[in-house]
Amino acid sequence: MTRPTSLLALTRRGLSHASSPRAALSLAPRTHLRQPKPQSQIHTTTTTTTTNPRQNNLTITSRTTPSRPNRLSPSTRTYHSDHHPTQPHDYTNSQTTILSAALHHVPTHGFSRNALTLGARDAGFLDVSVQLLPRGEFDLILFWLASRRGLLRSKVESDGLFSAGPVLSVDDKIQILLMERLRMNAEVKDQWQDALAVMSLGENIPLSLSELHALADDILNLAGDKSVDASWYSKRMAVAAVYAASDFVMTRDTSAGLRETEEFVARRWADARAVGDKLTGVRECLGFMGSTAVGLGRSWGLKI
Amino acid sequence: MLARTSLAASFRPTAATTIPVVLDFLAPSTLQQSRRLYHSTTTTNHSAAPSAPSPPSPTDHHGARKPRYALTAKQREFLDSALRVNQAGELAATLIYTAQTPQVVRSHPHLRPLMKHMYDQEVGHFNTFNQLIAKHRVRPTAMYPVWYAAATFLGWSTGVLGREAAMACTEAVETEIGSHYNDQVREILSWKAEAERRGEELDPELEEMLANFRRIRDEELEHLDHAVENDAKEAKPYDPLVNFIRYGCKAAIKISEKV
Repeated sequence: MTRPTSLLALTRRGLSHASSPRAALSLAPRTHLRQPKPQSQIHTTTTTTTTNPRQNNLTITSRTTPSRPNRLSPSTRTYHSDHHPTQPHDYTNSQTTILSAALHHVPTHGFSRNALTLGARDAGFLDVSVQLLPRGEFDLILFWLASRRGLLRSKVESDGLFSAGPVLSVDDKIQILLMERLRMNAEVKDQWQDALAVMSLGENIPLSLSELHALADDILNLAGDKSVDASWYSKRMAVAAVYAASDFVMTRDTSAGLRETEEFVARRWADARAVGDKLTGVRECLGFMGSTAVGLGRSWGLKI
Repeated sequence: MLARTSLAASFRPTAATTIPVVLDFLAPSTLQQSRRLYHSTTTTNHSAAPSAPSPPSPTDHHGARKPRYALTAKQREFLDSALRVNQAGELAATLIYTAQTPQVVRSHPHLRPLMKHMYDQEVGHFNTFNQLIAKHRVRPTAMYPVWYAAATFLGWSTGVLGREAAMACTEAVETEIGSHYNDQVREILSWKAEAERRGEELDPELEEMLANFRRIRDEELEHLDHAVENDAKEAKPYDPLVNFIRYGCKAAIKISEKV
């Protein structure tokens, strides 16, 4: 099944942009992953001399790639174990390469098809290989979110964000992690409102919320939260709500070092805590009254 | 005889006993008890028991390092829902005993040590699963407040009905829970068999989990035994009561697996 468009693009352009992909991104391409089954294979060595060894086994799949993940990454939701590590995203090797290269064009070109195409060229892929990413620019946004989430984890686990300095409470750690994550978005601050608009499109909302949940889950896990009851849900909702609100504030923040955003996060988190404390107090009060009533009844000889 | 002794040893309840472990099965009363315990659960026990050798000590593995058995996505999901269900179940069990104890002990003070013993074991199980859930980042069940209220009501209402009803409640719950744990043990053992076929080994966390599941299953079945000893079968509308609780447990397990 040879695709005429890809051949055309190949001869017309001749892979002029053959710079090697920069390794500035934290996520190295996964080598152990299954490659999508190639339906048409083009060896670029037949048409042009190349200095990039990756191009020798360049494969291009058609639009219906079998490996397209339905959910963002089902493995991030289930059982975690040090013996069975999980990846922050489910993109394949070539997808990760294109997306990583495309992220360098985001500050100038935004989260757009244009950035994807330029990234594909940088990585030594053909223009058509953007088809590897069926969701287009939304894939770029999702990859940004997932890779920044992985970066946040490595900041704590590898760089020791909390290991130096005084012992912090879980609440302090949550605020620090929220700010760390928001500072990463500051790199693309001017493009971020567009990205938020794309995320809020109807068909993209489920995956966006799934990614937001994954971020809240990671932040609470990294902060050392060990809740195993209904507060598991309320805490994740609180973190997600604070992050989403602060994300908007960050795009309009012009202060040095995102100071206004930092104050906003602190205020919102204090609010969330106040609500939580109030609810806990009400519940404890009701429980106390209930047990008092039962104890009183028993002391009167009722068989309750 | 060999099969019987190994069977008795593997199913011996871990209640506080001063008899040395090796000679345990020689005592007729213990043997009888463990046999009854073995028969008192559903038939699912039969297939699991012969394939249940005692878990190997971790020192076995340090000699030659085998490759680790990698979990598939489906197996991860199984562990995810299994841990979620187990935590919810142990939460309910502690609450049931908490609610039952005052009424049962009030009219039958001699049951106080037994109720305390069973309650303490359930608290131990609950803590085990809380730790596992936090460690493996498993989502706790969204029905947590519902199970909290339902279990408290179940314990309280059976406590009001009297000692026999309370024991019948324990019997019904532990029958379901015991067979449920048994299913999980069998599933993990099947992974272990598959790993051995491939020349791999389970990671130590899974081995520990398997040992924990077995221990907890045996303790739950021991509670079942205590309940039957204390006239659970004398509960007045026995069949409706037990069936209602058993189907309730089954439904709760199914729901907690998903949400």
